[in-house]
Amino acid sequence: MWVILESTPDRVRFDEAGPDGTAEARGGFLEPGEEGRLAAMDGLSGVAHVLSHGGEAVRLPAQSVDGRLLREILDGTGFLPEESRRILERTVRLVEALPAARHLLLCDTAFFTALPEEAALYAVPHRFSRQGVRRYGGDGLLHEWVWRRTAVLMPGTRRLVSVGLGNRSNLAAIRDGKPMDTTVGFTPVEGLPSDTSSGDVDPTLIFQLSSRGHPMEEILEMLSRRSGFGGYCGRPTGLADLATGRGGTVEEARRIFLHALVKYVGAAISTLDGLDALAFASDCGAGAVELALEACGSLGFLGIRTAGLPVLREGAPALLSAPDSRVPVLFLPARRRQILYEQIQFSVKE
Amino acid sequence: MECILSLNCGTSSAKYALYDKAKRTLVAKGVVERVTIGQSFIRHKVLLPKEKEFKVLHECPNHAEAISLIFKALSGELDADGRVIDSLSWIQAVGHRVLHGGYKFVKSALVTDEVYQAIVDMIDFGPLHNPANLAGIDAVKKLLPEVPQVAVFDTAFFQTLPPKAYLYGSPYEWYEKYRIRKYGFHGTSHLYLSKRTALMLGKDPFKVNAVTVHIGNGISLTAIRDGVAVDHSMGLSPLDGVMMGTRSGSVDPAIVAYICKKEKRTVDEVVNVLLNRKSGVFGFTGITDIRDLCEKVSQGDEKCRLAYDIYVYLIRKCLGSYLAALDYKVDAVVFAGGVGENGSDVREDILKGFEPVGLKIDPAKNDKAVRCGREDDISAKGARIRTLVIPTNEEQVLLEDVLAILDGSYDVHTRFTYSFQK
Repeated sequence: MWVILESTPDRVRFDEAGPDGTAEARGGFLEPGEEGRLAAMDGLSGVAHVLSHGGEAVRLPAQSVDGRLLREILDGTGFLPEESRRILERTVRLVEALPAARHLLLCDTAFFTALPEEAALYAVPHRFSRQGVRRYGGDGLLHEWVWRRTAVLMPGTRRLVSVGLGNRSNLAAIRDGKPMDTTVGFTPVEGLPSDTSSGDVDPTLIFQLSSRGHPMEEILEMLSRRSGFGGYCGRPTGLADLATGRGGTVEEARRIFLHALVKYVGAAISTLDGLDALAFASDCGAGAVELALEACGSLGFLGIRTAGLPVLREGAPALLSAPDSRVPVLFLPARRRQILYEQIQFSVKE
Repeated sequence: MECILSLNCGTSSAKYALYDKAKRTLVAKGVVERVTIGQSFIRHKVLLPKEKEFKVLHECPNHAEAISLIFKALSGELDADGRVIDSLSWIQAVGHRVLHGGYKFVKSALVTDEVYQAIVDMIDFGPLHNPANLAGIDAVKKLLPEVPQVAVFDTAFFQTLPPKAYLYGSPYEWYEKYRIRKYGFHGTSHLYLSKRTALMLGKDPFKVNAVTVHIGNGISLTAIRDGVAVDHSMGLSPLDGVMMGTRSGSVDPAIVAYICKKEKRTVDEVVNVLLNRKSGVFGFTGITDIRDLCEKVSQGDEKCRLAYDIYVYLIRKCLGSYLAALDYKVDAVVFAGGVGENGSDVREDILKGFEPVGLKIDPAKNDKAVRCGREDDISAKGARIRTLVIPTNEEQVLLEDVLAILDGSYDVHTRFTYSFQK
């Protein structure tokens, strides 16, 4: 049995998986100091530690780690966010507490460490780039999974735009399995607007708010927690609400989101010099399909035709494009846990 | 001779141009540099009847002094050769380029007390430029109290943007309270390009769909649908959008916080100095001019190559995003501005790989459209989307706005026909 550990902003979630990572999940939350609970578990063979931001140090999506390697990552000079340090330090403690188990680091930025420099670097004074100010991307485990699935479903695909549709959506331009660009930047605030974060803004906004007396911490907090769909609608609003909501602010939020999404798809097509397949991955079901179809409406002149609402079967991929579409459009139901399990399975087999 | 003077007062400069009102021709132009920062000088150029150019050092601790210096140059007090007017009374009107009209101006306006106050109210949005623009208006008012002054806003053309394009994903209360939104810049240039594109394609000006790409020191792209702006790359300020000569373009807001903390700098320093003046091409290479950069690239400089690649890449992405935002129903992609008009290599590199979406240029035509100062269609045969090069003319828009305001025929561009549309 494997356990997957993933930190939310407030606590640590754990999920149980079978020996090969595929079994039904059971899980719960570990409160601080309760990490010893894992040691008491029968038949624990491995722990997968999810790291949403691996900075410059973690370059493999799935990496077996021991205490020494973790120390190396922590002591390295590469950029690593504070939050990630805390997760890695917890990992060190668990590696010590559970010496018999295999420990795997699953990192969401690793896939994007291979971004080309023109996509990764910001046009800020170069000394900051050397300090690790760069585009790290996010949801790399998802996008890598989308690439693998698409390669199976649509053999021969070379240029893929992978869109993760959820409360926190993002997009990756992928060529031959390699990331070429993505929307998430130095932090997840940049890119598409999410349920609570702003997406791209003019940095001057920070100056103008700060001259009006708002402290920096407050501005950043507002941009990451009180912006996006919720910040626009004035109440908690997720992707599902955007899909179903009609009239008023929700509809405007949907237009804002789709406008940003279509623009990013267009930018990714220019990055890839064209497009062989477009894949939307989501765990939001029919609502996400509806948004994906609407986004595809802007691509008609590229020869992309959609076939109307498909019948969604639990967990099964669906084809959104019509037979005469020049480019296939896929919808992949994507469960985070399933993706993590598959990643473990993949690593265990190796 | 009756004349129209145009003024563009920047934070430390004052550019001017004098036109013959009847013939609408440029008579003289110039710039006062280093205003307020010491060792200021004027560079004055007479074009008609005979070309003449000179430079005079003169301390200008403020814009008032700079404006008075300009008047001296025009009336021959600095150098008899520079004289183009016998008396200041020849000046019939002054048109000012004003950076930020915020949400208050959808078109150019005669500067009344009310309009003046509105420009003051917009200082929060253009904290560096609007005060300089106002100083210019004040100075002219003092020297020529009876002469009408017109404000031509960089932002006005973009007031047609729909909310989905002008709203940031930041809290709506910031929009309600402070009007934090996308405003757009280079408006007179994009207006000119939109009208000329329609003319070149033989289309109704309100049926034309285009992406206009202005590449000068600043870079901005506009998505134009049915002749009006529907999206634009610069935002609340000219910092937003793609990387430029010294500006970073849009960056993750967390980077501002990171740099503030790391180097113990104020937000003012990071945003207004580091990101506006020390970033972009300069941040990578120490070079600001894209022509110099291209020169270094051709000499094999690796760092310059990287800066150039990123520069081109970000414009490509932005162009790609606007083609999609226009549902790819685009008649033309239009290049303008110093680099846009003359940089055939830059144009070629930007458009590489756009064939699948219907854009393709003819390399020979592209090479020819350099420094000829005329409009050119550089598309390859059969390209679904045309590629045009149009020398932009912001001054022409300003001049015609001023003239039309004087004779009462002026209106917002959707209800007004410029002479260059015929």
